[in-house]
Amino acid sequence: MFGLKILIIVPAYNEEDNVVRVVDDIIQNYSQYDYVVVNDGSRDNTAKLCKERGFCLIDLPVNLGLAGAVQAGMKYALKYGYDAAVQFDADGQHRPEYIVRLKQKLLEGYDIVIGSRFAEKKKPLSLRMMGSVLIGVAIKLTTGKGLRDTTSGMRMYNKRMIHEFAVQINHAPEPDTIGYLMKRGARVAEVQIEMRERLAGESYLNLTRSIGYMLRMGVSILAMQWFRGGKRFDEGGPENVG
Amino acid sequence: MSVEIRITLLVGALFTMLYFIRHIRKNQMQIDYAIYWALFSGALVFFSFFPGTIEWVAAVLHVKSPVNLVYLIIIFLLIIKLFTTTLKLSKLNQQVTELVQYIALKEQENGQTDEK
Repeated sequence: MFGLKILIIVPAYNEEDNVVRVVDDIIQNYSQYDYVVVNDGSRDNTAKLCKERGFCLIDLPVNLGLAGAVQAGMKYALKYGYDAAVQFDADGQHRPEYIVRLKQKLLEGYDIVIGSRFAEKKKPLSLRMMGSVLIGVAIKLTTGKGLRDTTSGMRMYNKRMIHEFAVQINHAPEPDTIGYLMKRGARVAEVQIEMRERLAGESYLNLTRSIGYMLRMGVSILAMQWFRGGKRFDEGGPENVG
Repeated sequence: MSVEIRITLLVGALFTMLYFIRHIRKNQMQIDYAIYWALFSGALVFFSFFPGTIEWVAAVLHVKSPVNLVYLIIIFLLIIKLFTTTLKLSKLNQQVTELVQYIALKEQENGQTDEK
């Protein structure tokens, strides 16, 4: 496996219906990867189920939100010296068979590889995809580079990015952070993947939340770029992080 | 609005904006919070460059002096911000309480297993 140590970070918030199936699949069929479940202060039995099954678990005592949960996973990856980390949903949307594609692309020298639903395929023109398109336009305007699937949650990060996400504030695993890192010279690529519908339960994003999310992303990408500092990655060698 | 108040507003707005930018650049604030202050200082700069917009709204609302409308808007925005900050503060307070209790209970649990 080219000696690349890969960690799958599975943030889970109230995912008792899905988390066992998702993690069992990784353990049984993809044992070449390590994983860690980050229970984000769930109010249901997510933590209990993980403990019963003996999953590798970071159990956050209070709810921190996705950014805090993923950051906890990144800190774990940093602590144990992983070369790459994959952000992986606990709801069953992401499929572990595509991790190998992300890894191959990462080995070509990229910092972030996005598992993209539309790298090769055409984006459907639905209301749901409107947000994705608008965020893509905002990123194109600020970085000059286009991304086909901005809102995909399945991304692989290399060691340098693990360090960034683990120690910096304002590094939520969201499109605005990707745009910000691209602006600082991080190399970002996309590979084609497929996603499943979520196994059970309801999506967190309803219409109001989606609009709020879009506004926040839009303002963050378009307006906040000029406020944000940070050294460029491509100046002064690999030790130049943060 | 008089020229004096416009110049004061403009200079004040620009310095406020620079002050905010400096702190946000140093990564001292989370983006979610910074967005409010960026928009707030942006609006101040906008209104001091284009006082006509304020004068027009003041005329529509029959506010005698446009500068009063500026004060009204600023006070309203600050009240909203103060309220949401208080909300956030109580949430933080609660989280810290939970964390302290969690750590203390864990310590107690560890202490018991050590004694065995």
